[in-house]
Amino acid sequence: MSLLATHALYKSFGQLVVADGIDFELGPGDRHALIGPNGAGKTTFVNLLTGALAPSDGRVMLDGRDITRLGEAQRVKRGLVRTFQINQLFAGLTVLENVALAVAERRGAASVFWTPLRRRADLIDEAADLLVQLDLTAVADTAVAAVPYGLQRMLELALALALKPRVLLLDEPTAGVPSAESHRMLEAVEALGQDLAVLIIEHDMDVVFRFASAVTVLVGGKVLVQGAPDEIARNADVRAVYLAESRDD
Amino acid sequence: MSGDALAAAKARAAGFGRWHPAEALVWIAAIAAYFVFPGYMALGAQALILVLFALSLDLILGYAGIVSLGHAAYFGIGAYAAGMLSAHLGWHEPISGLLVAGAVAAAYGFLTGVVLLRYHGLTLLMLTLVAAILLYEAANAWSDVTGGFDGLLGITPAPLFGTFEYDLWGRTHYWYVLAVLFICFLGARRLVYSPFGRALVGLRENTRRMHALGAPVYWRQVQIYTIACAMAGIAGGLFAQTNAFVTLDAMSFLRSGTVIIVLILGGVGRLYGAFIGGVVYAVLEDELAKASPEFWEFGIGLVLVCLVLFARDGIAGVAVRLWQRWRR
Repeated sequence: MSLLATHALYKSFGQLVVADGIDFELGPGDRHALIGPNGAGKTTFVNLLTGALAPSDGRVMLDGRDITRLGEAQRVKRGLVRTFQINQLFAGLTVLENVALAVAERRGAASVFWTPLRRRADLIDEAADLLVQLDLTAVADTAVAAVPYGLQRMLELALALALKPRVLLLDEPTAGVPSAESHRMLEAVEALGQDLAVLIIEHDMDVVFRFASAVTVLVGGKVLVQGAPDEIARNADVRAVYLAESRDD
Repeated sequence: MSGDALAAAKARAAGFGRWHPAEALVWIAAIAAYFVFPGYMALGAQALILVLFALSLDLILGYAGIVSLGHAAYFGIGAYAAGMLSAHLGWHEPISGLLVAGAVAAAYGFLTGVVLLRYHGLTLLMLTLVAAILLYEAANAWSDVTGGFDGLLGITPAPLFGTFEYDLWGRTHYWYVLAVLFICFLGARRLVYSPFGRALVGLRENTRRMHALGAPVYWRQVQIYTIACAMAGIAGGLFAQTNAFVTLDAMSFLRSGTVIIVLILGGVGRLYGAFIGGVVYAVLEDELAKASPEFWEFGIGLVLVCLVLFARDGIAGVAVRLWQRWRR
């Protein structure tokens, strides 16, 4: 059974159609890549999945339940978690504090206003363990604004993982990261539980072919083709789209 | 090396929000002021009321990042609630009067917050201003009850705990206000060092990420807004009780602006900034007005310009930086 699915998902801003009847499925353990040229509606699709945008028509299902009307926070509580293409971190706080905030939210501790945070060593310890897991301990005590960009991208991932997702949406996680570091990040994602479903938006084809077991190509808000990576690589339509794209670069 | 950084971060977390000796100094100074400046207790009480009011703004502006140009509305609501309780209803016991002031301001803060906090940025800023002006005009129009421009007279608080009479020099008032401020300060301090308080800072730093972490962003904002409004209402209640008089000035735009200046002067988002800013502002206002009754605001403006140019983190921020440099 699919974990996350969309049925005829449609979104328009006036005349501009940004999601045009997208059908999509993601099962437990899937490693699915979403690719497409700039402006294909990839991030819009993620925003529709997370609830940041409300669709004009169609449905989003999680665990077979209709979550189309649910808010962003409620979807997160059900295990649908995202990262951002452009870092969305707490710049003034340290790396450990950033992750501790995410842990506190997941465990419902963030609505407690009478117990001092320092007495919640459980939150701090869990955050610290995650930093060890992602090899971020060297910057644990550094304010995020002073942390190198590559490590900030890693922290983006850490904040999502702290929520113990069941479905993880990665919006260009390796954007702007040198390939040595992007490998580290993908290894961290690959090491995650086999029940976890991952949807990765990615421009770097090396990353896509290394990581994904299935690929969806989005063009103009429509699914152009879906399939295994090697099928996609051979697909004439996809090559046409991407060759046109690469000539623009 | 890297293990050290993690250990340091954990140690920082374990000591987060512990009392610092410098904090005791602030309160000792407030007590010492009673003995050193016995002739200034009336001013002292008003300064501490301003501190409490600024502290309430710090909770929403400094911690949660909610900007408001209409915070005086809640101060005014509290002032009128405490004032009318005594002047119209004949309930003169001050502490219960203060609780009523806080409760009424909290209720009003909740109702307005539920609407206002659906908006953000400049829209929110303008709407807080509009809400406060509407309240001001409503109070003006409803002059049978509020006293309108002439003000609300006949506020006669009973002796504190039935024993402590109020004197001409405001000494009882000073202790009363200091005690209330201290209790509210403890509450605010507890709150900002809790997981909830940290989550508020998360809202200030990145609301979008808080959504993505599954935080009930809007509800949290309404919560802290209500708490801050209750505190502003208590400050207003103290204002009414110590002056035995309330005018529409209590909820004027000028007061909303003043409290922002006070907080910026002292330092935003650091609790004691409200303390330092409130005291410095009140003393500056008093001294400058003595020196030049017409142009005293020029002096305040000059100080503010210097701070914004050279020390955006306010007096408290400068003090912390100097202390850290001296220790090194």
